[in-house]
Amino acid sequence: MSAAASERITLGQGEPVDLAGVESAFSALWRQAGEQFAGNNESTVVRACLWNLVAYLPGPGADPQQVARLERLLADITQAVPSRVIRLQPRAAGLAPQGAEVQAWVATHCMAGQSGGGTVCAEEVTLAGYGEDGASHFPPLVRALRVPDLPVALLWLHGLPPKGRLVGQLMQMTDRMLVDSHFMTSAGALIALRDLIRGVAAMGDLGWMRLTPMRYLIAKLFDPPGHGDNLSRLERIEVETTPDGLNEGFLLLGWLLSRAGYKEFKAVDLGGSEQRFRWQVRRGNTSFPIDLFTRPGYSAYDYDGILRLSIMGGGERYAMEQVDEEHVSLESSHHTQSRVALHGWEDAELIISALQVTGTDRIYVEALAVAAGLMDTEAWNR
Amino acid sequence: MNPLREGLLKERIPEAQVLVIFGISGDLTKRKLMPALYTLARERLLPAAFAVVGVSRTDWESTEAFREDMRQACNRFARRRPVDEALWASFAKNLHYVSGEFDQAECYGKLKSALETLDKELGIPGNRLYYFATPPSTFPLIVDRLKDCKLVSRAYEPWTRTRVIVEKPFGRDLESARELNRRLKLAFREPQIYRIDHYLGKETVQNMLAFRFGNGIFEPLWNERHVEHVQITAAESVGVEGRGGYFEEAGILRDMVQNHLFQVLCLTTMEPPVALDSDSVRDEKVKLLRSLRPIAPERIDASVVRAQYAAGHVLGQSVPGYRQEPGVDPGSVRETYVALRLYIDNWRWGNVPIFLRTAKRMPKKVTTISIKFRDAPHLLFRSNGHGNSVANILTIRVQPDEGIALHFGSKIPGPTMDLAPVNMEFRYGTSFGREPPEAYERLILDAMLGESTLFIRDDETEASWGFISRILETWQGQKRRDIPLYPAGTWGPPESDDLIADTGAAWSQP
Repeated sequence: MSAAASERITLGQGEPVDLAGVESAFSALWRQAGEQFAGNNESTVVRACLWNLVAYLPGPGADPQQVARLERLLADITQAVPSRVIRLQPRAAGLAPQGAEVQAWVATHCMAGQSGGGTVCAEEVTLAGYGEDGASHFPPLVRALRVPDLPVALLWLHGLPPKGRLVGQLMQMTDRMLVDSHFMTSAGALIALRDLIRGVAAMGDLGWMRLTPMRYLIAKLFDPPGHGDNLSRLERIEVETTPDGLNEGFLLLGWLLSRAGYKEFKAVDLGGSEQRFRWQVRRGNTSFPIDLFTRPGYSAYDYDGILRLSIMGGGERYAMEQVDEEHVSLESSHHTQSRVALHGWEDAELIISALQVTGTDRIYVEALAVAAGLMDTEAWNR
Repeated sequence: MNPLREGLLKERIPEAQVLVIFGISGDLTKRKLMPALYTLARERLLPAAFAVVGVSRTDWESTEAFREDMRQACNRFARRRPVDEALWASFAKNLHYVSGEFDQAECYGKLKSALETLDKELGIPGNRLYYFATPPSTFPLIVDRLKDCKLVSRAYEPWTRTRVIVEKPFGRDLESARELNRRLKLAFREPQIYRIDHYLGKETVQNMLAFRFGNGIFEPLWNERHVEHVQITAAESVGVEGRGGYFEEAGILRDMVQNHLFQVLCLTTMEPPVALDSDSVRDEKVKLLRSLRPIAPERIDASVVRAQYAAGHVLGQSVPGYRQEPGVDPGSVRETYVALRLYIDNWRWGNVPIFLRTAKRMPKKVTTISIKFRDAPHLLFRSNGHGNSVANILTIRVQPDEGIALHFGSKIPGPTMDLAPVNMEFRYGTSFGREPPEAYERLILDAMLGESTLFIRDDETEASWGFISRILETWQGQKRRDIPLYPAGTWGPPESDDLIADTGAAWSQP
């Protein structure tokens, strides 16, 4: 994606434009693009648009690295998914120019068409809302500025969207919301996410999508005939994560338990450890323990997430362990592989693929429900 | 039953694997396979642990020389070129080759050793995808040797995946197709075999499924009540391109109709599948092929027109006739043009004529599907003396300039009620802002994923050969000494116009 980024030419983004004149400002940019590319062999300038991408950016005091990450993501996504991007940028009330609660900037990003179709351009409008009053203008402005009859995706990738009128209004006009549970660091975030998902037409979670390659390999452990049945005879599960990968641990447990049909669990008090959780899971007359813990201070390499999974079931042991950033080991009583490659996706690729599917992944919804249920027990709240 | 598999199949992440290409020095590898793999790497669609091992009689001076050869191929034929050097460096380090004769056990010993080393180095659990990019005559030999050296297994292996991609032609008649299938199945189970027809990898061909079954407005019209006729044209401006010897044996009926055109025909006319899984789609295709009304031997000449190109002019160049091409018999009656009038005996299509046409040395390279709808039942605008009726035609452009156009009549602005034909157009390039992937990119990726919907099943090949073989046998029995000629650069012989004019229609001019 970075190679393609160099081919992008941006027009506009200078002075703020009048909010009522955003479409006229775009028209002017289109004329400018037409003139600028008129000398090319393929002189047609084509406006391509499949989505309205509404990106809610972090507010004042946000981690600059996080902001830079989101900016890079947006640039990468819009090269692959022609869109009108509406960037919602909350700013401190004190920075407001005189008399303005909201300001707008427009830009057009143009790239050489890849199939002989001339120059393809996509539009971006940035809305800066100053203070709470300014941000309250966002929903009606999105309603006015979206390209009609095209779906709206709301990207909220820097944390848990807060409850409230603003988020509710944005979600109402959203066809697909994309979040990243990895960056939801508040206690019980998955509980709030489970509740949030009910209010939106469809949701994708990058934190969940990053687990997919691992889920493939774990599923593979149970592929041999008869081993799938061992999931209904579980005896113990242990999941170990990096300190910042706890949400992934909950989602992985949620996935395993929901797929295997376990719904009843009760927290076990381990005596005040903040990094270690245990539940007793029940099905019928049997019960078994599951443990989730983090490896404190773990930073062997640039990886956040699941470090180790061990499952006992039907008298067999199944295990997966991260051996380095790109490989895991797989082990079961009938097969061992010391180094299996793990396919990693870049976040932009995850978002692009999330925009290509419709509806919410049912498996995710069920996994999230169980993960939130685990969080919702005494273990989390003690 | 493994409940953890639920919902995972739709994820498009191939497992770690090695792609073994037999015929790595060949034209297909250089023009299509390697550029497709490079593009897949560019789009990060290859697995994290992935390697290519080429097998060929050619021996390069060094691995570096081999990789340079492949780089040059990508520089010439990849969608995005020249290659990105940093990306190429990371992609090329996983390109390897083994030189040897396909019939020598030693070659397979070297291959086995190379594969085991790669498995260990990259963490690949023994997954293999074999690609037979060699002449079909070598397929049985390679299959036998792979089996002898235990490089393939028909047994179900939960931990490893072994698959094979087989290039066309899948036989040259029904009997040889059956024999090829039999030989392949000695080493592979049918689900492990991926018979490739690159037409199915074309975005517009796949879009036929989306267009027909993903929209509510077209399918109700897709039947004999509303469709007057269907035309499928696959025209090439090139001649036999140095493959005179091959073409003398094959002819265009075998080379294009049995595979590409019949696949397009299937997707255009088949019933909706119950699901999009590979067997549901292929079941419908087989049903369609079995519904083709057999052409009685005495009706073949009235339903199938064959011809051969004579010297002429194509795209501003003077070109020789077929009989003057290298490797071609000067008295050859081999067909380079074929047009067929077919009928599908089912409730949907009744007596709707389906016209297929394909040829070498036509005015341009173009593949289209045209659905001609019946005229309005009452020609209201003819009565006032000003207007006329306008044909409603839906045209799907498979290549080039992929897209869909709907032709209909519109009132000409002004005081009179005259109609003029207008187009409503959809073009991939402008609507999506990016070009569709090359067919081989999609198909190789699908085979790596174990997704076989876009590949051809054994019963499909046999059903299509069953139909084509009857025509071939009749032609063979006729022992013709001459064949109609058409000048290169034209749309075919007058006989083909008669074929379609019988039904009151005319060929589209794509």
